[in-house]
Amino acid sequence: MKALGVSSRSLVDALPLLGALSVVVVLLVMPLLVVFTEALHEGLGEYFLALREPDALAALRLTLTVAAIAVPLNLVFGVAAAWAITKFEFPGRQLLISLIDLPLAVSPVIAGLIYVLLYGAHGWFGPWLAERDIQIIFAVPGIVLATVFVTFPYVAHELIPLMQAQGREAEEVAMSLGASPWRSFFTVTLPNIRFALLYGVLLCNARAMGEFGAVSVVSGHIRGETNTLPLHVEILYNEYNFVAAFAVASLLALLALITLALKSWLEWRHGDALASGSVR
Amino acid sequence: MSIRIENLSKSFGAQPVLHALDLAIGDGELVALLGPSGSGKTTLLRVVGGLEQATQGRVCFDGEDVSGWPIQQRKVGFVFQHYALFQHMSVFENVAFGLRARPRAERLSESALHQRVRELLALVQLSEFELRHPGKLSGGQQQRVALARALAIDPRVLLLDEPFGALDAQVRKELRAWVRAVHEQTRLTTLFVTHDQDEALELADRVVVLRDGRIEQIGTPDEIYDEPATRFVHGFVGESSSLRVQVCHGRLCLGDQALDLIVGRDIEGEHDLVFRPQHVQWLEAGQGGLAARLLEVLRVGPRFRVGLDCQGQRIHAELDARPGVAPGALVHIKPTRWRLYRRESPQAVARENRLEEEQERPASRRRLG
Repeated sequence: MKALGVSSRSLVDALPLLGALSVVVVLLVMPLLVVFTEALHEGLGEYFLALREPDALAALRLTLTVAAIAVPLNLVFGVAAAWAITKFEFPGRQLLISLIDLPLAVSPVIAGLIYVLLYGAHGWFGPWLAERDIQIIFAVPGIVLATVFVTFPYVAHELIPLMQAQGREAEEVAMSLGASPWRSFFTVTLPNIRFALLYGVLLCNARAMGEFGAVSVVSGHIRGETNTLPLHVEILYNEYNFVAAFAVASLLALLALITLALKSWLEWRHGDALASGSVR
Repeated sequence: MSIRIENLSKSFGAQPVLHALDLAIGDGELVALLGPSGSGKTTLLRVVGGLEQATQGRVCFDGEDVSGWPIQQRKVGFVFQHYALFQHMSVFENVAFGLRARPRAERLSESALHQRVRELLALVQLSEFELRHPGKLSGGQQQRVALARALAIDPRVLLLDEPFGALDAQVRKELRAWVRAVHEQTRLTTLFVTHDQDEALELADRVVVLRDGRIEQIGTPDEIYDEPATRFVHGFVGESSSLRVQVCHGRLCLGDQALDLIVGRDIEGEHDLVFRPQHVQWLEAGQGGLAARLLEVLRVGPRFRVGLDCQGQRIHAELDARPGVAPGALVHIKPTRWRLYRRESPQAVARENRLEEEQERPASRRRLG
């Protein structure tokens, strides 16, 4: 009787776990497996051939370029915004906090459309730009702009709670000891937030490389020119070129896996520095 | 270095925090800013240090107006309650920070810097910890590192913001004695903020008592304790008991009972009689005094603390010996040193006759633990 009681009890305990596990398998693991099996199902040769195709290489190059511009920009913006918000009191501070969250609240497609309406041929600045022969929409600058917009919150979001918890005392001490604001920032503030910053950059990068919606609206889908990896996957898929589509998709999946691994490592190794003030 | 604060006011937005303060601190003095939370003591310290700008008024160092100087120029050694050590640097680098931040022309050679840091670490008795990181030190050790770091820049003044607030009682006691010793050695003008009256009275040459952004009293620990200038100081520093009494024709009355305490003829109406628990005399029956019911007797260290009920008002007194009667008995008492305050008025209107006081044994100081 007793043994039965215990085992039925542990079965009840195990049910939520089983439920969660099956969701993880069905929704997360299986799609990942499908990407790789589909990509490889005509063999490694076909797989690498698909990746070496000029349009695929161009898409890879563009994705890396866009991330290489957008991520450092957002690193600087994010640190500056978090620093201003947490270390100073100024009018409009609350508004700035809300504005940082705006890209998370707005659908990426809308974000893309905003830029088309602003910088497109018939947009507000369209004629002015056309006169000067500057193309933003359906060109790389538009893709960068859309990506910067969509990935803006990630760095600031990681930093603000941490810097708020850390307070200003460390900087105040540094300045009382004679350090200039710059010296105080580089020798005290930055080391205190370095792991959270890395974490934010990692998330920002993953999103920058994987962004589809906003970029899709502003890119114009010109093969070999304005196609990023996610857009290229869509095109290949629509052309029933499944091996190539999944091969390119596997690159993005790999990026996700690497991000995940780095993220876990950061959380495991420097969880304290990410979560709470390291000043105390 | 001397500090002079003139007509200093500070508001945060519409919220006034300091009201037109004047304060002069002599060279080499160790001064405590004492007050309850919200009294403005930390704000005052931060304005002196240059971490906050005054809304109005001046701060002078050695007669020179430094109000507009940035904190870097003021050369103040700051120590915070939670140490604010640089966690990613070793103890050595923490102490060396101020030396390395000097303008290039004034920077020490690496060997001179090492020597200076080692001297400071020896002063705070942490020589063997120089390569440790702050996270591996106890609270008391961290606070000593913070002090060494502040001393490294040869500050003109040392500003300590609740320096012992985060430490447990034993460490706090040790560190207090030790700060006193460092002060004897360096003779640096030192200002420290505390809400702990024991700390202020024990450590400081002079104590500034603040309340609601105003200075209630400035004085030596003896003056603050024995001669409180206001009712607030009387109640805030040291223990006190208070009885609501009536004054009729220059005599104090409690209900239908007349106390043989005489005050001036010009005082009338309801007042508060305030006295320290140790300034209560026990009278034999028939000697007059105030009748009170003994409620409880507690042993507090070497002395006894008794709770008394005087016609519904609860007070307590302190005695050298256990009273000879059991709780519930009626006893007679008389405050020997007291002050009379009009309700709503901070200054005392009357006090005990000074002649009486001469005969009294010197009051032993007792404070809240």
